[in-house]
Amino acid sequence: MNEITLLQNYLLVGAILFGLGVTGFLVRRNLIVMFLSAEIMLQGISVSLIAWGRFHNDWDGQLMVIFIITVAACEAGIALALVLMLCRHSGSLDVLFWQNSREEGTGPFIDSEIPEESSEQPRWPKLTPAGLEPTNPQEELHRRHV
Amino acid sequence: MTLNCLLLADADFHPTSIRELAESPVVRLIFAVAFLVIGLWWLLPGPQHRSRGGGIVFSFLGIGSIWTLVPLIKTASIQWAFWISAGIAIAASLATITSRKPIYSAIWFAVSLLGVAGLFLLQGAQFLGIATVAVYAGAIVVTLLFVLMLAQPEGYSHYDRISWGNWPRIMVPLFAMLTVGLIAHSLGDVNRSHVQLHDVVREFLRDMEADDRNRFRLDAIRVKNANKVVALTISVSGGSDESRTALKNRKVDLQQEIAKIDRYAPNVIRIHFANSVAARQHVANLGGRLFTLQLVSVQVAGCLLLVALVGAIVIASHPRANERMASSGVAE
Repeated sequence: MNEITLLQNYLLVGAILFGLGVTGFLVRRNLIVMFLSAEIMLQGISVSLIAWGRFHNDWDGQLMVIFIITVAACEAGIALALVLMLCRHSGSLDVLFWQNSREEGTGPFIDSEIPEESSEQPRWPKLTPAGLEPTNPQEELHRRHV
Repeated sequence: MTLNCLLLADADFHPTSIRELAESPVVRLIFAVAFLVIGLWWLLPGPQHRSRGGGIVFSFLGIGSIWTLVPLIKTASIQWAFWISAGIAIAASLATITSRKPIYSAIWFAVSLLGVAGLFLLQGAQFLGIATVAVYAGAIVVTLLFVLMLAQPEGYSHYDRISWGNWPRIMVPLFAMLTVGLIAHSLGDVNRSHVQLHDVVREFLRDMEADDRNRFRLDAIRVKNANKVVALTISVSGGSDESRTALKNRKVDLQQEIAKIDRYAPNVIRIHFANSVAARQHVANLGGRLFTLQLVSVQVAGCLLLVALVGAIVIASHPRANERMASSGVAE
């Protein structure tokens, strides 16, 4: 029972990781986060492959994951070069800037609400003053005459 | 698994108490999916600035409920190691896709990789566990962080908060978690006779043990059905030479034992003493397979890496981009 139970648990983890990756890819708008979601999907698949390989006592599961890592590395290199190029042209990592490459006939996506930025203002820490007070040249001039 | 068992069309299903309701896997599945969808909708970034605590609670409730659909691993140490690694992987992935600042997403992804590496190590895939950390977390995530530093130095922007609006935020988690729920449901339905087959073979192997040092371990059972000939390949590891020959001599007894199970009446049983996937000298065995059976794939992967490298350099150093960069640099 242990082998099958292990397999079931691992496949469930793989499925959840894949589902989370799909969700992240379709919902987020930042190019980098979309790429990260694709990588999460690949991790889910790798987990499932390892589980099947162990269940059938087949090395092919792990070999395929080695190739998945290789392909992911290539994809990362090219994707990040492309992201850099896109960012240079558009000035931001927003994929909305490139929405004119959408399907013909569908309307554009327009930002309906821009969220308020005020809550994200960083609060800088206040330092207590320490050391000697710096001398004021005007004060010093005044004192010499007295 | 037919769709009938998903719909509560069972005539005998009249729950009289919450306990009976909780025992039905379909009800647990519906609750798990609902919790996950609500949790994800709450956590995913939206225009209103709201706290994420409720979303985290719902997501964990959902993940916990969906885990009641698969059975527990009997060995407590393996179960706990699995839960810790899987918990880290899933929680960190959740944080990756729902962080409002992409730099946090990248760091949470690195944490998720650690969880996945733990899962690999638990399955005996030692090389892949280390390779995941070295290649993914060490190279890919670092490259990603560099790109983020160049492209978005302030760390966040308004589009990170809105994403595509409210409609995808509810529909995408719904469909994704429905799919995950269906997978979990089909995982819960395990073929009873398959489990019985494993149990019978394991019992038989345990009876054959001479002493502690010659312990057999059942690695895998493969059933091949070709031209009405059912062949079982049982992979066993461990055992000394004498016990291995003794096991081979007792194959007929094993065949009779297996024939008692309903579905399996194998014509041929092969007992295979192999280097199991979880063996010692794991990396040597993996390398042996990789560079003999998969040699062509390795060469192709090498060429792919070369092509990707050249392509990335060409894309990133396009003359037009260099002009733009030079002009913007000089103008400032």
